[in-house]
Amino acid sequence: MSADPRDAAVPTTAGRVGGIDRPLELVLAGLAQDEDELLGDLAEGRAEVASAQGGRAARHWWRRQALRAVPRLVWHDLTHLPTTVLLGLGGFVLWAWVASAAYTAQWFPVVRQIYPVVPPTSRIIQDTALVGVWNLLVAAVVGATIAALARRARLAPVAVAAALMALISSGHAFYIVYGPGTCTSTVDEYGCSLELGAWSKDVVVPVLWQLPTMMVLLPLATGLGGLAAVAWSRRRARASGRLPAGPAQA
Amino acid sequence: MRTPGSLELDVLVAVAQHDGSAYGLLVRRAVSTARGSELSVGAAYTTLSRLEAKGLLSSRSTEPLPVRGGRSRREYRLTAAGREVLAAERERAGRRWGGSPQWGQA
Repeated sequence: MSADPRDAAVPTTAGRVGGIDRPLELVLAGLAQDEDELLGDLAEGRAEVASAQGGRAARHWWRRQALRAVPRLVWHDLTHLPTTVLLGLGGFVLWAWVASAAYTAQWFPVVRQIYPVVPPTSRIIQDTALVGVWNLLVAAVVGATIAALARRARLAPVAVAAALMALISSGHAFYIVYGPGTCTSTVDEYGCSLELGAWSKDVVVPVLWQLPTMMVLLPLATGLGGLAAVAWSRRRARASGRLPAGPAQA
Repeated sequence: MRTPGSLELDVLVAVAQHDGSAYGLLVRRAVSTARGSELSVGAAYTTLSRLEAKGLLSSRSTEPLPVRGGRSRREYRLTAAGREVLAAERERAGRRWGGSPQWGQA
């Protein structure tokens, strides 16, 4: 029976794959233009360190190298793949459009912005949670979509979109938090509206959705969506034999 | 073409030393030795990729190797443009240092 190198077991001297290694490997696979080259070098280097210094040192070496590679890869992709930035910008616009379009859609539960009276706090909390979850959900779907559309370095455009989301969450009154609402009367009508925006002085909503929480949660949701797409494409590549079978380890 | 930076030159020299069989980890080791400081795997990877995009290196993938967990190796070699850059750099260094006294020697 001939041994296929792709099915080769990883040297046991390289140490057990830790909890953080697999997600980190997924990130590297999503950022590298040639996954085999980068992860193969890391695997080979790890095996060398393991045989010289033991599994623990090899694991630390691998993690240190992997963590150092991430920012380099992001920068490299951004400066060498022009479509990355365009795709990331497109993803951000798509997210902003879909997330805000829902507010005017009849099916979205938080569309009632004019109330006959100021709504109770529980209602505001519920609406705020709905808007927050909706935004995060759209961010995850957009992250997965642009990662699936990118042909190489799938996570690079995701990083662009995630950075823009973090940016807009930090410096703009983002429609995540509702103020308590104000009632106004004109000659024609009387109504109470909720104040949109995170800068309200007397916000009565859970702190969970306030800044800078969304600055962290939105990029995180986008990144998780992108990682899901990378994992899915790797699974397909593995099934077709283009990637080593079994749990990949670098 | 823009003159390669010092790291790029070190990588080109390392590839020249193992022309045809140079790959990321080997280049990383050679450059780390030459510079006296550890070059990360990511830095070797991105620099090789950049030099290939500039047309100074060409590459080919090997068959999958067990030592790499079943992954292939990308082996690099200098292109004609890469050789020209190294030759020009050598000439420039020779002009710069050729007439200098041998400091530190008895």
